[in-house]
Amino acid sequence: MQGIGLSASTVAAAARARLLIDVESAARLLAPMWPLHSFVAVNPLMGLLELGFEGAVREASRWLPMQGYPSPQFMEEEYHRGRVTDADLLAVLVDRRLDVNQTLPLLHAWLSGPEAIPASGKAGEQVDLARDVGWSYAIDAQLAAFCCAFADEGASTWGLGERSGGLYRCWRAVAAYDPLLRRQLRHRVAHAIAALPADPEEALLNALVRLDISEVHRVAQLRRRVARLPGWVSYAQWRQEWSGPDCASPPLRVVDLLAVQMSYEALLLDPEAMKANAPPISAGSDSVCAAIWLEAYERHYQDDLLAKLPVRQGPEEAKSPQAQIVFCIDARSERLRRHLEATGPYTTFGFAGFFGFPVAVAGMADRYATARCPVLMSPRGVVRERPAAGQERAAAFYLRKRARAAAVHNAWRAGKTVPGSPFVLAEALGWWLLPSASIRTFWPRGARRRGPATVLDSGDAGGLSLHERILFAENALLSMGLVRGFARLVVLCGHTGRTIANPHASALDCGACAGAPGGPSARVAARALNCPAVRTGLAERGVYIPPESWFLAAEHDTTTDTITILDRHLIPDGYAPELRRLESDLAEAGRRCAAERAGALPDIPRRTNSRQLAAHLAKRAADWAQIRPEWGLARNAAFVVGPRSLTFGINLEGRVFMHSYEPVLDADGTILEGILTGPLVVAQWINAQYYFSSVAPEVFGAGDKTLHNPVGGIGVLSGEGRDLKIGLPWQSVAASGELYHEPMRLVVVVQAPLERLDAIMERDSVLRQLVGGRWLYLVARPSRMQAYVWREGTWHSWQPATSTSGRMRAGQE
Amino acid sequence: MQLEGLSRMTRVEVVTTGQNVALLQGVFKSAGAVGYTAMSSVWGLGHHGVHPGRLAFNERDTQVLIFTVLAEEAAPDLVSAVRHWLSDRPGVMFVSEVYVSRPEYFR
Repeated sequence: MQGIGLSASTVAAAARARLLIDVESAARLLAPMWPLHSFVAVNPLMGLLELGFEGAVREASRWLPMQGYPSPQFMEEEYHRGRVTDADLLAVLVDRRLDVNQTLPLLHAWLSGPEAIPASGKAGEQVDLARDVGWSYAIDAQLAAFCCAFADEGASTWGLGERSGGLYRCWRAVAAYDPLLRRQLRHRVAHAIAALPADPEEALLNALVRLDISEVHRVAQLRRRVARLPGWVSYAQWRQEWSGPDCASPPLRVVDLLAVQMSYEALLLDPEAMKANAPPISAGSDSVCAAIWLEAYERHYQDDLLAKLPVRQGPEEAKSPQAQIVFCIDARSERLRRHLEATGPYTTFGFAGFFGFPVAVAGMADRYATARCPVLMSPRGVVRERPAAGQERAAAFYLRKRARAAAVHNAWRAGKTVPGSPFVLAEALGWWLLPSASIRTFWPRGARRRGPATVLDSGDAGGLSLHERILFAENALLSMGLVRGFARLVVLCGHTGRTIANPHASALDCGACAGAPGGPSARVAARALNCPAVRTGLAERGVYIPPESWFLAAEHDTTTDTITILDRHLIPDGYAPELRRLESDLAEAGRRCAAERAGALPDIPRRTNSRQLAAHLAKRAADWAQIRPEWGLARNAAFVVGPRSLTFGINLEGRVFMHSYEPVLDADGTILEGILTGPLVVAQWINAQYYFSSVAPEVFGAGDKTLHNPVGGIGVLSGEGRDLKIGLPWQSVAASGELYHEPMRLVVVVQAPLERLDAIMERDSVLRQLVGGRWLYLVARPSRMQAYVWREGTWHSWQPATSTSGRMRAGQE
Repeated sequence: MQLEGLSRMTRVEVVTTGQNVALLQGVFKSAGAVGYTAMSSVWGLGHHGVHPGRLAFNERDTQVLIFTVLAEEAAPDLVSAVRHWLSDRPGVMFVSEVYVSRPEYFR
């Protein structure tokens, strides 16, 4: 057994253990928040999953200033432009077995009702502010400022001192100098702080006693306090549960945050006043109307989507493709796949962008390796970049150059942060920087740094064993349905976004690579799939890759829609003709993709040709003042699991996550189960993040980008705001004050037999919760002619809303 | 079974989903346990039906067996806390008597 040490405490062990459980229960109101350097989209209400979507929104609305549904004004506009119709409403009312004649007028009355404005101010404060206490604001501001100093990840030059013992111990060590406490306690402050327990759990238990909070009300009272600082609590949730044992950031736990917060309260507040706290915010009584409107709005899109899918044999994919290209399931790949297939004989596949190899990757100049797999998995090995054969001297030179650049940067940074020095520095060097700053401002140009040719081989020391590489390769190929008919070139294409001076840059990268660029994962997988020993192992397991097939890695820049072939030096000469044509077609597909996408970007110059558009997009990616380099995954709406023939040639408008799946290769359903419990969960998190950033931006959105104030590498404050902002910036979901993202829950369309899906639903509780709790919609297509939706524990034949309303009218006549 | 020279202690085992492991580690520690052992991807048939052992792309939602061994006098605190936790969470707990050869490892 691994020793974990026992902290000394005078408090009964049972009380401490129970306290941790109650703190965890309270904090489930909020999801973990990943730091900015690996921004991972999450369902902000994932801790309330078991309550179902509507229950979770209701519960969150009790504590947080949010509604959780699109506003009446938004729905009214959508209704008037025909995006949601009476037919959609009728279909939902029939599904819910509600009286149409009574309910429909109520729904229309809801549209013209007053806008449901979330209680103003900061989360969780309403109760106290209404009582004119205001203490919670002062306490939380002080605590949040302390958290910034505690968790700054080394950004500040003047550190806080010893932080390894956690937030509470660190705070207690310096609390006697706290201005708020000194102002209120005056000469008693030193004594009061000395009397606080050294242990955070004990301090929190003491504060609970002092504030006269009984065990029965404890979770509710803790939840109220958690709701006052959702950003910091969410970050603490990530740090304590998801960051892993090697995380170098100071340890921050929710229990420590609460211990400090409630110690302040115990020291400063009158327990009698606290007792009279009002109940939490009540959820809006019209949430049922809002839920019905949302469902009708979703229903409209679902009908459109399902009507697009072919009911009979459509245009065929290339039989003998010149190349097969595997893209990430990311919705941004949809456009590129469609346009590439239109340029030539190519077949494309969708698979999670880590290509099945769960590893951490350390670049040649990196001190630490970063995970490149979905956060639901742990890296199985560390792959270190090494110079390609013959490139050792060039690599040494490159590393020296990087080290010099880093030294200059650090010196510059130190010069800026020493007290008083910025004045001198600006006077002395400001003029020298003017030309470069002017060029970056008015003529932004992005240039990728080119280094020596390198290799990322998961078979190297510290990486994966041969057996693991064979298993991961087999699993990936089976899951994407690519086990025979290999083309001479098989491209694994990861993706990345390109933007500068953007704290949320990693939100544009690959979610399946833990918020990092997907190129390294493609390189790792391609290298493994070209390895003769891996191919021999695969052949023994029934997957034969002919020797003439070559896997190569590529990366799609989603901001400029350019595709770069990676590791060129590894590609044998014999593939040059095919590679030239492939690159030409990829470039053409990228241009078409960019042209289609440009129509939705708000500030694109009109009447541009493809060259001008490419120049504009490149400039946009390099512009340090650009607040919206691309739309990212805004408007994501569906997840399709099936062979490409299900979607081939159909314009899905870049809104659909697409995972390849061949039902005939999966008799026992294990492949489909893997897809529905892994990539689907990631897609649902992304979808929910966009949804809540759109409908509850006050709580679950990061606010206006122009006001962002980054805190270390952790998160952003809005201006001088005290709490970290959760979720996506407003510019990621809206433009000119109007939502660009359509807030909807994901609809999942799976081409598979119903019995297979039934069996998976029966044995997988997460999927049951997602579908049964209506966090998403599950539609099965057992054949081209049939579609069924899962509702209330069983399958219902899919009926478009127009047919429902038609039947109802016929019935009334 | 020859138990001479062995020390009687209590083993507390919990089967739950992987996402709860971090919390249980903290609870074990708070209740006085000095270590634990966890086994991921366990599978079987339970109150909510069959639980799959391994999911291809998700380790967080598979079943985990986590157990600790501690002194008999410390066990009631931990058992009480875990029972409290299980009141609204999926999972099961087993408490049993065990005999160990190196009791100092568990105190």
